[in-house]
Amino acid sequence: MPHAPAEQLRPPPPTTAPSPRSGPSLAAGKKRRPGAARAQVRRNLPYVLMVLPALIIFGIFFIIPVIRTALLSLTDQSNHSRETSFIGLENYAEALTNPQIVAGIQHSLIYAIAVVVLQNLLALPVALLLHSKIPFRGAFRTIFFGPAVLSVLVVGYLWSYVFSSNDYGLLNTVLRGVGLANVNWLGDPNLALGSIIATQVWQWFGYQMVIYLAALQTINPDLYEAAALDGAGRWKSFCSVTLPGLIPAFQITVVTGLISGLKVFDIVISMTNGGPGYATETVLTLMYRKFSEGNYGLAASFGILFLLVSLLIGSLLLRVFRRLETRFS
Amino acid sequence: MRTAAAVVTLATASLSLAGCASAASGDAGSGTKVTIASWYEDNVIGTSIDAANAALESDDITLEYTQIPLDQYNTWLSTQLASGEGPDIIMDGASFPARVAAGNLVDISDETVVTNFTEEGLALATDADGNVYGVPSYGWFSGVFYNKDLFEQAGVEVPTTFDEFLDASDKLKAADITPLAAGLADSDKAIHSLMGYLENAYYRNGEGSPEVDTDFAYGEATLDGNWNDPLEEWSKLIDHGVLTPEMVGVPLSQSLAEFTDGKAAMYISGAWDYQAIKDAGLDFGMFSHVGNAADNQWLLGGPAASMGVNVDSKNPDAAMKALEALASEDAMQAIVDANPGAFSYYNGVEGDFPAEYELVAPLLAEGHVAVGWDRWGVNMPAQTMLDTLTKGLQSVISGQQSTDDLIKQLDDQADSIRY
Repeated sequence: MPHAPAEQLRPPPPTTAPSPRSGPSLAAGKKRRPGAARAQVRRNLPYVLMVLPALIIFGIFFIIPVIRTALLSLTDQSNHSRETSFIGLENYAEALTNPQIVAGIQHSLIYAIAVVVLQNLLALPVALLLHSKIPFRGAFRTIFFGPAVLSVLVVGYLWSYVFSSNDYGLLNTVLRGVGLANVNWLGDPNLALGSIIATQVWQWFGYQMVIYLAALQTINPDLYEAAALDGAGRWKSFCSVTLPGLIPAFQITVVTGLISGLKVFDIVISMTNGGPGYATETVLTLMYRKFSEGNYGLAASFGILFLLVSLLIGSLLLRVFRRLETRFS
Repeated sequence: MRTAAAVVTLATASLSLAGCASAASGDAGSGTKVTIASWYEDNVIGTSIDAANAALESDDITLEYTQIPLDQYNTWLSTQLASGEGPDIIMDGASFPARVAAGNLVDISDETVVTNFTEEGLALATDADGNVYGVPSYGWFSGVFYNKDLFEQAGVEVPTTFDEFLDASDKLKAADITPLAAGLADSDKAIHSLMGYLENAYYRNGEGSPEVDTDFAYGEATLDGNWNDPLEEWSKLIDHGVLTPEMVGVPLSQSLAEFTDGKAAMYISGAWDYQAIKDAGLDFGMFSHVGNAADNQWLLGGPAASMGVNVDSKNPDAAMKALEALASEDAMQAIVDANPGAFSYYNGVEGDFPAEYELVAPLLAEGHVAVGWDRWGVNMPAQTMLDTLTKGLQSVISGQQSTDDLIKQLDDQADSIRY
């Protein structure tokens, strides 16, 4: 019996039939019965009440601060004066023409992209390996996930000792032990950002690995069996069954990785404090610096610009992944 | 629905009652509480706070101290003050003039508490019109600690000029000894090195004068055209391998360990590191920052944190009494005694100088202690300039920019932050 090509083994697309619960609202064009809307409100009320506490907390700790920060960014508020004036978009003009902030944006982008790419390049093969039945896989999973439970600040301070360029630096001691010269990991502007990226790849790839492991476990084994019956080899099976099944996991690791990468702050502060010079300053460390200097209005404009950039990148990525999902589903 | 409304009403009422109970218990406490905060650890300021509390006991006032880590202090205090909060007594160092300019402090010119302090001690807390807003806790200075054994091993004498310092460093390197330990990743050692050199080779003995800094603060002079030659000369420390790009990747704690472990011959610091060095069992001493005149040396230093009353204090009278207690002879003596090598601007209070300070004690007695950034503080937030200088020097030492680039960077920064 001829086998169907592996591409045809995808699960059928979800039906669009309305669920029984959504009946009245989907009855477009039909006249609503009097009292139907009230009944629906009454039916949804418990859910609204359940969401309400989270919504209030979100409003108090996110929406209101964002609005206040946006208003602050339009003023010249600073710790140099007790008077504050409205100055329109002057802070934004300064932020966008400041060479340090431009460099900070570049560093943030380089960091975010490099961390996401490298973490995924490491996490996916390791997850595939630890998904198979190898000895001690539970122990390996724990070991690789271990660094993710540490505080970023602790990791930063520990690695600043490991990378130190004097005699106390662990890595350089090892290099000297094998006859190589010391490397100025954190003091060389060309290496400092890379050194920071390396620590974060080390710390978080295990976390990404766990996400991939979880996603791998949701893929129906029957699909592999069917692919094998259809003559698909390992590579074909990986491309046609495993990868499409991992798209939701990719979405999580890439979107959250990029957003948190753009927000990088604590590891930079603990390892290089933005140095040498401005070589590892990021948007948030610069924002913190402007805030520390007492330029609250300017620092607030950095924050709002950063929020807008993050929203833009986040929504673009979500759109890309939605298309990918549609294509593969 | 009625039940839900009742629950909400009850919850609100209980919260209000809880609030009342809390306020009542606060009022029923013992006396008035006055708050004070700084980055000083308990071993630095603890005995002084105790002495002040003992003096305040009769007034039923308690002084409550909070320590905030140094790297967070400026942000913490600025945020508090911006929102009309903050401790009743404000303590700050290089940024104290910024607090004065921002109107955060009460004018204490007419209070008797200021009469016990020298004019130099009050300089950081005095505005351009001569009004006084605070008093200094004590005086700090920095010089160069040196390991006597390593100097002897390399056949090096204590340098008294910059050229001698470079020669000594070359000899130490030739003897396979690291001349200077300096963790530049997170410290201000390069700033102390530069400003110590400038005080000795430019402001006091060279072409410049301290007035250049005052003019710079008010925007009547730029560093470009004044600092170029001395900064170029100072950068010989980089050419001679005394300050190295590798140091930019070393944290402060490791550089102190390098000195206390006897791996480096010199370490720029002050009284705050004295005990750690002493505990390491080194045979050490301290000499002054050097310039071009052996007979006119200057230490880097000035008033440490100044203290003043927060203009937004809820207990201004109690805060003033607490400030008087902190600025009493007993409390001033206590803080000097707790910090071997520190000195006081309070008339009549003197600290004990350990034997290791024998070379710098005469300079302290002559009042040869000054620092450029205190002069900047009259019209700009000096801490911001120091942050820029820290990063700029990292860039110079790691070869990212020239000394002239750094000077331009400082001028640009100053233009954007003057009051």
